[in-house]
Amino acid sequence: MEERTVAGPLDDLLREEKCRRVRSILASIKPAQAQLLILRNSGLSYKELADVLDVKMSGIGTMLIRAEEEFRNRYLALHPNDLHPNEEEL
Amino acid sequence: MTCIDDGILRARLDGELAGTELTEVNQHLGACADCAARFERLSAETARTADLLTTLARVGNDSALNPAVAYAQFRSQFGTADEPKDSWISRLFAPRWRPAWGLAAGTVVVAILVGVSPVRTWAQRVLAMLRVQKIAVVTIDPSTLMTGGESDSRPSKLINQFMADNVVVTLDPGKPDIVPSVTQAAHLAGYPIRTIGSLGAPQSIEVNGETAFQMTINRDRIEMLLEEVGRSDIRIPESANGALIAVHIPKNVISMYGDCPARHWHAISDTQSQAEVLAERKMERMASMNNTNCTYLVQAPSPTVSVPSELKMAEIAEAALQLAGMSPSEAHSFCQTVDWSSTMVVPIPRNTSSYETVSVDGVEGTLITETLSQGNRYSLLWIKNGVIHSLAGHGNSSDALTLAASLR
Repeated sequence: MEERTVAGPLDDLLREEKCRRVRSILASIKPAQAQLLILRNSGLSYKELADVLDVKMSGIGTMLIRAEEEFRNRYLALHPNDLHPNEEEL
Repeated sequence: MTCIDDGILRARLDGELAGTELTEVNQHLGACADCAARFERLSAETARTADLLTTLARVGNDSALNPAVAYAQFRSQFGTADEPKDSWISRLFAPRWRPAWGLAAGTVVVAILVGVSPVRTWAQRVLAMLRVQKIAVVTIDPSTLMTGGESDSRPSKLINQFMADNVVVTLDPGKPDIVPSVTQAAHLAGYPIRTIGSLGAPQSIEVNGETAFQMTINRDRIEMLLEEVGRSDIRIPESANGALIAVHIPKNVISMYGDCPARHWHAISDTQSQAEVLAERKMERMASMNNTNCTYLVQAPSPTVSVPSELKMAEIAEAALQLAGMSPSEAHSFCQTVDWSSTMVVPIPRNTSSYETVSVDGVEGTLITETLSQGNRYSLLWIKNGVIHSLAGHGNSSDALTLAASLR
């Protein structure tokens, strides 16, 4: 987990806002895709994801790509300045 | 080695490959500039998304990193549920509709097949105008995905959820009208209602309202669904993407003869859980199957469907039939034999059902017989003057033909 070295009040507010945006986007995409993303982000392996979601392990990679694409597209549509390549940490 | 698909590249990126597969992929990435570039792009995109998602763990407490806790939190925060939203569309394909569709199988199969069979103008573009003129039966393997018909199985839930999310109801049929007489039923339906002369007056008559819905084919979403139900091998033709399918189902009438179980209106009350609804449906289905002294006659003017004229319906039907349990080669050859502009296809489980072509009501009909532990159940389907007739009950095929001969 990232170490928070300069956790001033502004940083906290920005992080919280970003978190709110992420939650909002997750809530707007298909539940199955949101579940997949959050579970993968929580550290589940492909096998564990396949077991939990009751799908074939061989399809997890493709499902992740599509779910992330959906997530990214929606996020970018609402917050176009918030997601750049090589984006600096807040 | 041919180029590597994105799913495998993603697994490689996530450290999910091992052994010879990992070696082969690494070797290929070293030799193929195209795949290496895709891998780099995928890495960058994944990193960007991961950066956003990890904010969830940074804000709040550390338990977000525990998968079980994270999942529980997610569900409570966003109200996401595994249970499908019960909707008008699932009611359409609920057990009470079975007589209308013969022994029709799964939700999506029927939806797509109905969707590509029949018609009416709806959208702004030039549409194919199709109407059901004949019925074809296809036998499918009941051990596969859809044909069990259990509404609480995971594939059914996923598909019901998919339908709830993607189908736009443009005309809700509302609650069915239960009427005491054929005259009233005909008045409500707007067309003459026939009766089975040898059985006397119907015990009960139900008039179901006019119905319409439409959906736009989103290839990515359908393929996502197919992946979720473990059938990523089925591909949806690219040409179908974006096609609008609009279905219109006129009022239909179900006449019940003999000792038929009470039919329930499946509106979901606030106090009724999904589990309770499913249990109720199961009980209704069981009651219907056990009640051997009940005969249904359904009269339904042909549904009509608007589809873009360029839509290759045979290709979509081929995918649907594979989902229903046909092998790719079986589905392909069957689809070549069907005129999709005028045929309603009824899938039946091949191990418990058989069918034959018969002469009924002056036209050609299809008699489907299902062998159950309680005895045979038949469903006789035919189309006369643009109206689909379905006569369903318990007994032998000759019983069905005798009853049909007394129609008036």
